[in-house]
Amino acid sequence: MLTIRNIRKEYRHPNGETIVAAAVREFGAAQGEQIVLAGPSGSGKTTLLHLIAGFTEPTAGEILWDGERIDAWAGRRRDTWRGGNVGYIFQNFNLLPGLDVRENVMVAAALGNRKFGSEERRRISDLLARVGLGDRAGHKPSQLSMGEQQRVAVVRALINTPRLILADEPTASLDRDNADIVLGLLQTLCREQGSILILATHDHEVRARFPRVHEMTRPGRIPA
Amino acid sequence: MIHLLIAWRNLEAKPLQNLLTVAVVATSLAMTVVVMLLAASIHYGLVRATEPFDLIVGAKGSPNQLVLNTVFLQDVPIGNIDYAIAGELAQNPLVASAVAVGFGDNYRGYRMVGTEAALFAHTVASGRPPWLQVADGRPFQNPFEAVLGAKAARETGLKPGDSFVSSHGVVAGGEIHGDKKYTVVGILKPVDGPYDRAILTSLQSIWQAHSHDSAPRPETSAPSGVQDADEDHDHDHDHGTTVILVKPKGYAEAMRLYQQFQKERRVQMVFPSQVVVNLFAALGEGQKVLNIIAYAVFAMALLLVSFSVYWSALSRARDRAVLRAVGASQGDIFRIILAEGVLIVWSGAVIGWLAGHGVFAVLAGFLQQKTGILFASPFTASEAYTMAGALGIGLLAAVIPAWFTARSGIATDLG
Repeated sequence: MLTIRNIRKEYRHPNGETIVAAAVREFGAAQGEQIVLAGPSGSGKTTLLHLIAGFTEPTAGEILWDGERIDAWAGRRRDTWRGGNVGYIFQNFNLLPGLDVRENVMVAAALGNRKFGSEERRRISDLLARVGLGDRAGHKPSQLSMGEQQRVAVVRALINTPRLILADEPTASLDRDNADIVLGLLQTLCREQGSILILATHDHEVRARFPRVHEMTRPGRIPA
Repeated sequence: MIHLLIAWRNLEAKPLQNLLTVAVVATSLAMTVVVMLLAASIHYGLVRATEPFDLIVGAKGSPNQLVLNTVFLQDVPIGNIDYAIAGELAQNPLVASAVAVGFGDNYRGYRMVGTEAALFAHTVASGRPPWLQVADGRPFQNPFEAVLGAKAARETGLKPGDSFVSSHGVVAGGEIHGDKKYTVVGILKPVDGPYDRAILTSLQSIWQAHSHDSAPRPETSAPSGVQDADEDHDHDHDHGTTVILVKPKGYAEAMRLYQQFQKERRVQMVFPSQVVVNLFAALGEGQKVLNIIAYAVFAMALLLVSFSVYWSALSRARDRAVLRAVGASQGDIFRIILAEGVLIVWSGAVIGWLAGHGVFAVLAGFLQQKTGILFASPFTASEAYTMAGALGIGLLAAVIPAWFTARSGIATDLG
């Protein structure tokens, strides 16, 4: 269960202005929920995902996971929590270029879950087959199409069966057909695993496929 | 394991840059290893070569020249001394044995060593087998019989029963003593020293060979020392010798004998091992300079590794952030970058160590061929310390960039 209260992320501009990158008064997600963060560019969707994942710390407010304030945790504890509980999907895939498909997924299993054995190997093969990449496991990301790369990123995010999947514009770089495939896989797999899916998008067709939408607005600037 | 895989893949992504860095580390360490091995093996080879020679008595002049000529069969003899001194020494109560040795002739550049049969009984230390042992044939017994050192026999192709004529001087090209033929009667076992290149015969053979010389000798037939000595051939050659190898009865006797000979006006007595140690101490200064240069180059190589790993890690900030996003901790990032640096430095160090030994083997083979001195490569403590130091400092060179890059923020690196 994820709960966010009165959260703000601010940056100080060199000219003295305070830039509010994200501001959310109240937000919550129950296990298995699929939610879209909708809003125009600059409304803080990515910043909110970064805050939830613990990539950065809020200037104010609270982020709770099962009732515990994860924003107050030390870096190492947050790393451990993220590795076991969060799967993150980027708009531009961010697969590691030197590693092949299997190794890209394996890295997440080994670093996130802290274990990697025959069971994890089998699960990687199953999931890659599930997204139609069973025969591409030895290929480098540069040898894949963008749609295929994003499918690998989906598998990487789901490999540790995380309870929370954060997806930042995962279909923005894809054509409509590939976007439909990736989105379909993501929603189906999250439903099967019972994971919370929070997906940031400004695409109306994508938001239409989600039962719940959280609207974000541009937080603005505070003059010096 | 996963850290090593990622580190290896990162290195694979920039093969040229990383191979160059490995090559710089390897070259610098190879230089250090070669200098170290050469110094150790030269020291070992020189000292080992002097072992059969406790004390040498020879003409007044340079002790270095005396030792170089007698022990290493290099340079030219200083001059002749009265053979009667050998008899005097044999009577000295401090002396266990005194064997006369004369130089001055060669066969195709292999030095003729005129000596006495007693040399075949000469031991490096009591209780040990004789220094020179015949492997094939027998020791010389009559004039113009010759026993060849192992290398001299192998390289000249001479075998027992063959005959040859010597030429005047210590280098090839001198006047040939054509009227006297030597017959090979034996081949020595290898001694792994300069005497593998010697041709032993009796002193009488050398004396007789020269007593019948009548033709004028060319100026270039022998270096000046020998020439000067040989000018007296017709008068005293049958009573002259170049050096006397003296085996004292013990250490105390050696010191007393040495004291006695300090007052001797006709000849000088030297401890060959002491001469070699002094010689090596002088060479040691040069070795120190070479070592400092090699260490400085290695330090620069490690600095290069540090910067190379750091810049490489900086250029992959986004990959690092992605790793953090999928669950890697700062410790994981530290270990990955550390592994990259360690792989570069350690593979460079191992390649450098092997290359150093390879270069040394080539140089040692060449020098051994040239001098007859055994250039073994004993694994010295200083080499072990250097390797351990290289690996340790290499680890430090990798720790620094790993420490700095592991601490950057995920959100910042994701851009």
